[in-house]
Formats: sequence, structure tokens, C-alpha cells
Amino acid sequence: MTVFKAFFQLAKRNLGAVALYMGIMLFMAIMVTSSKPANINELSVSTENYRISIHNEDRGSPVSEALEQSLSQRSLVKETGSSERAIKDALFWRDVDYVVIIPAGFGEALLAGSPMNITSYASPNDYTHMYIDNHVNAFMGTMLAYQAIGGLSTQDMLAHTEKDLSSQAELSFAQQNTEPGWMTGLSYYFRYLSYSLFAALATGMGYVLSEMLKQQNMLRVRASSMGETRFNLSLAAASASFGLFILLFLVIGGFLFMQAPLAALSYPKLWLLFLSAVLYTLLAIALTLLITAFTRHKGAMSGIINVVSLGSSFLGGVFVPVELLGGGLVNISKFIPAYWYTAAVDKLIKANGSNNAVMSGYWKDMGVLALMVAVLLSSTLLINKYKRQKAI
Amino acid sequence: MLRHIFRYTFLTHLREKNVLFWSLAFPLILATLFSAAFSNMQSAEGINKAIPLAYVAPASGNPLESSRGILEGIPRGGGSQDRLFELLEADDEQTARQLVLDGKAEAALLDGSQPRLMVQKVSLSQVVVKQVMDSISQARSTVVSLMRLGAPQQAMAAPDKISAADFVQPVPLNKSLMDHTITYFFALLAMTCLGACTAGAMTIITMQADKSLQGARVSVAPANKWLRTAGAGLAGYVVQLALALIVLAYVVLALGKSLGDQMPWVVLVVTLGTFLGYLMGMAVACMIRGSENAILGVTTGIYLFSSFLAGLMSQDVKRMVDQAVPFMGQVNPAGMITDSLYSLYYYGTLESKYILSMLLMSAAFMLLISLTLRRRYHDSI
Repeated sequence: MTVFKAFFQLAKRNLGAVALYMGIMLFMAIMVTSSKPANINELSVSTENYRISIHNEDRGSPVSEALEQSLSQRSLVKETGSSERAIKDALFWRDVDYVVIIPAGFGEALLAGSPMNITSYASPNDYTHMYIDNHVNAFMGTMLAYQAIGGLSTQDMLAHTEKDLSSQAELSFAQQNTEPGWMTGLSYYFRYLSYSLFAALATGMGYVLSEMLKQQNMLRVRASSMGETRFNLSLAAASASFGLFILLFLVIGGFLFMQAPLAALSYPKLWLLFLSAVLYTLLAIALTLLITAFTRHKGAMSGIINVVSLGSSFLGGVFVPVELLGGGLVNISKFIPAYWYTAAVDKLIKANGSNNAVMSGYWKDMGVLALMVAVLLSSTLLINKYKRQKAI
Repeated sequence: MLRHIFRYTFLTHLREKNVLFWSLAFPLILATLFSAAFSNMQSAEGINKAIPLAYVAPASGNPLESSRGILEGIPRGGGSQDRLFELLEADDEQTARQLVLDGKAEAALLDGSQPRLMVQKVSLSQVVVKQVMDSISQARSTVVSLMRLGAPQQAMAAPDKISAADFVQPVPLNKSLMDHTITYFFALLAMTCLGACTAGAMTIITMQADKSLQGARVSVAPANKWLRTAGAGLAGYVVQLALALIVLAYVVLALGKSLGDQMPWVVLVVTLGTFLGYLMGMAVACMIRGSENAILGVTTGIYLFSSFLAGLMSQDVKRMVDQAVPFMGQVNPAGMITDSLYSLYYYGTLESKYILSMLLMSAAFMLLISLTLRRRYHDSI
């Protein structure tokens, strides 16, 4: 118990840095939940969430206003400045994905059968703009088809056009998701947990271990009545408790933030997410032990922890989705534990019910993660044994 | 004396492993990570092969309700002779659904007078399928409507007329400049520049008698305080500037990131940014009465928070700050640096307001340093 208590006394001194990573996690949670769909039952293959800006320079014309309204109904209209610089800024920062400019005289020209072109700006690598382009072309093409028969009033032509354009293929999920919104949010929360979990745990634990495993301290411990096995077991128990404390703090924080009800505890998926996080906590402990086996210098340790936590988050698919990493890079990522944790959580996010194929993939990822824990612990023991034998 | 102080402070800074790691190694590693993680992000998603589409024929067997012919006839475009869709015949809805769930088909089409689509995710392929099916439905509706209005000839010509409509004129944008992941590199350079504040704070810590033992020792030396501060400050700044320029060179030359065509101005921004960061560290150290750790903790916190607001972790943060709290965006030192780099990159011009803001803030820090350092003597510590 002496070692156990000493561990937490030292951990208290470094609580500030640990709290910093907890704060980062909370902030990330806010960012993530505000950017992810609240309910993935809402399939948005259409353009309802597509941010466009419409600059109608032909105000007063029923045709132009009908086109503007038609586009508004099918997308999320955002205001941007009308200058070219303001439009380019908005596109660069992805405030909007598409800007359409309806020129003055557009309505009259269309009714006269000699349509004017619509000017558009689109973000690069954005494919949804094709949908809006297509809609504008369909609107104008259909209007021209009705204009060609003659005798129809502008209002009739617009009514027919809008009726035709509202005729769409019905869209549905191949398998309906029955999950509540908070569960989706919690799943994404667990996905991003790995960065803060490792950074907070390694920072706190690394500081404590660098003090406790100092050579002078170790010599004193070896000379004391406490056996080395008991010392190591106490240290392992304290490390596990510290890790569990951080994990529980983050998970409870996520629960409160997502406003998950207590009934959430009856969801098997939540327990599987928690299991992944527990295994990742063990991995973070093992990795911290390995780092402390190499160096006990606080400055060096802080550097290594920052590089490892940020590096594994960027290359392991936490900050940037794995699909966006190049093929060669993905092969390197497979050596990073965060890759397997993210893969396991992603499978749970995508899993709908208990799909056997998905679940077997999940257990495979967890198996690889467990294997990595074993390899890291074995390596640490080997290095420590070597250093002890060589009296380093 | 100035030369002596400059020389030894210069050597001290060069041998300080901690400073070298945070001012050089860490930005280099972070830049490498950014480059690796974002390397594939700008490669355009395209349709490189036929989209597998599970197809269930209309239950009525009415050929007029079938879209099969149209779907099989659509070319992939871009001069390719290949088809856009690969139709996977399915006997019923359940088989088609399974093809989608197994990932063998991107979408399933249940054809008929009211066509239905089933998908499991949304990406380019699904958008294309939906777009094509919507166009077919809309054209059918127009044909029926024109027939009812008694215009059979126009009705027959309508589908071709609508599909041939091309009235959207896209404004060509330089897509290589639209790489928004470059803002992470701007924020990284801003962090590197402002990282000089730790070295700036160390300059004051090692010069002031109440802040370190070294400070106490040099304070009793027969050397003018301002001369000591100027010599040490200049040496520290030169080292920090060299480190920042190494990071800049690494980003541009080794990682191949283009920061625009105005490199001399980029170097000027980095030079000014490092100067600003260095003075900020000195000013903070002058104002805080506390231990070395406390001062370094505050300076590190300030420059990391400033870089965070400038979009180091997420570019959305910078945009959010600029739009929700514009004043904070304007007075944030890292924001000034990223805005200058953005202006140079995207518009090819350096707006004087950014340079002026950096110079004004530097002047304010210099004033603070002068006011807090002057007439500060210690009879006992």
C-alpha cells in the first residue's frame, strides 16, 4: 500500500497537465458532435445539408426567384459577401461549397427562349455540386420545353416545372439504423478518446514513474524489506487504477455531454465500446512503461509522449480518416495501435444490429490490440531485465 | 561586452536540447505528420470504373417503366468508351438489399413507375446514381405533362432537350490554391515563430536577479543591464530565427508544400513573427513574479493557446474565432502570422495591415519590457 499511496501522491502534483488533456478531449467532443449528424437515420444523399450561396442579381423576376426558391428547398443556403474576394474566401474556408450567381435579365431571357448562363463557383474535389448543376440545368431545360409549346403563362410554366422537378427517385437505407442519436454521438466520442486517453495517462503516469523508478529510489527499494515482486505488483495496481480513473472520468464526461440516459447501460454496443477503451488503456499503460524503460528524463519523456500521441492520432486514423491516407501509409499505420482501436470502434459505429461479419472483424481488431499489449509489456520486461543485469 | 554576451548566449541556446526539441524537432515532426496525413486528401475522388448497381426490373413488366436501357447506355465520360453503370441483376428486393449490405453493389435500384433506391452510405457513386435516377424521373414527368397539354412532338423532344441543357458556367479557380490543408502548415509556422517566446522568457529569467541564480550572478557583474539584455536577446532571437527558417525550408523544400510565389515575403513574415514571439516571451517574463517553471508554464500556455486559436488542431477553430469573435482573431499573434501567410498564398499580396499589426504589437511588448525592467534593483533576494 505504501507504493500505491506514493504513486497517487506524486500523481496529484502533475494534475494540471493531465487536466489540460481532459479539457482538450471535452473541446474535441464539442467539435465532433457539432460536425457529425445527430441522427444517421437522416440520409442526406440529396443536397439538403449542402452549403450554397445564391446571389440573385435579377430580383423581381418570377423566374429567377422561382429558381432561387427551388435551389433553397434543396440545399442549405448561407450568406456570403458578393465580392469575388469574399466568395473565394468563403470557398477556401469551406463556409460554402458552392456559389451560384443568377445574372440580371436572366428571367426575361429564359422566357424569350434565349437563356443566359448561370455563373457558379465550386469547391475543389466536391462532387455534390454536380447535383446542383444538374438541378439548374433541369430547371432551365424544362422551362424551355414548356416555353416551346407556347400559350402558357409564366406562372403555369413555373408550376409545371416545379412539379416535374419534384419527381424524384425515393431513397432509403438498405438496412435501417434504429439507434438513438446519443448513441451515435457516444460512438464518435469513443473514437476520438484515444488521443486524450493516451496523452493524459502517459503524461500523468510518466511523471510519477520518472520519480519512482529513479536509480537512487530503486536501490533503496531493493535494500528495503519489500520484495521486488510486491513492489512491481503495487506499481502495476496503481498504474491500472490511475488508468481506469482517467478512463472513467473521460467516459462519464462523455455520457454527461451526450446527455445519454441511464438506459444506455443496457446497450451491448456501449459495453463493447467500453471494452475497446479498456484495452486501449492497458495499451497506453504498456506503452508508457516502455517509454519509461528508455528514459526517465521528464523533458525527454514529455517530448516523446507528445510525438507518439499526436503521431499515432494523425497516422492511426483518429484525426484523419484512414480512407484518406495513401495506400503505403495505411500499411505503416497498421503498426500503430490507434489504427486497430479506431478500426474496432469504426466497425461498431457502422454495425447495425449484430451483423456477424462486422462483429468478427471487431474481435479480430481487438485481438491485434491485445497482442500489441503483450508485445509491449514483454519488450518492457526484457529491456528492464537487460538494464538491471548491466546495472544501467 | 555586447559581443561577449552575444557569443556565449548564442552557444548556450544552441546547446539547450530542450529548446532545440520544441523549436526545431517538434515542428519538423509535426510538419511531417501533417504532410503524411494530408497527402491523399487533395487527390480528387472520381469514377474510375463502372458503378456496380443492383437492379430489380419493374414488377409490372411494362417496358416503358424500365430504366435499364438508359442506364446501360450512359457512358462514363471523359472520352472513355466504358459504361457508367454495371447492372447486377437481382430477382427481388431482398437479394438487391443483400448485394448492397455485402458491399457488392454501391446502390440498389427497384425500377418501376416510382423508382426506389437503397443505399448504405453516401459517397460520389450514390450521388451519381441518385442524380441519374432523378433526371430520368423528372424527364418522364415532363413528357407525360407535355402529352397532357397536347404537345406530343415537344414531348418526344423534351428528354433530349433537358439532358442537353448546359447553362451553368463554372468560374475556373486555381484548384492548387484551394488546398485548405495548407492552413495547418500556416498554423504550424505560426507556432514555430511564437515558440521563440520560451527562449525570450529564458533571456529575462537568466538576466534578472530574482528569477534565477544565474540572473543574480550576472546582475552583480560590472555590465550595463540594457547591454546585457540586448546582447542576450539578440543572440536568442538569431538562434530562434534560424530554427524557424529551417522549419520553413523543410516544409517548402523537403515536404514540397507550396506556400505561394512570394517566398521573400513569407521569410519576412516568419522573421517578424519570430521577433514578435520572442518579445512576447520577454514581456511575459518581465511581468510575472514567480519561479522559472511558472514563467515557462505561462509562456508555453500562451503560445500554444494562440496557435490553437489560429487553427493548429482544427482549421474550423480559426474560422469560428474569426467569425464569432473577430477582435480576438485580430489581436491573436498566431492569427496575424497565419492571416499574412494566407494572404500571400491565396492572393499573392501581403496586406500591410497584418505587418502593421505585428509591428505595433512588437512595439507594445518592447514598451512593456522597458517599463518593467527599468529601475528594478534588488538590495537582497
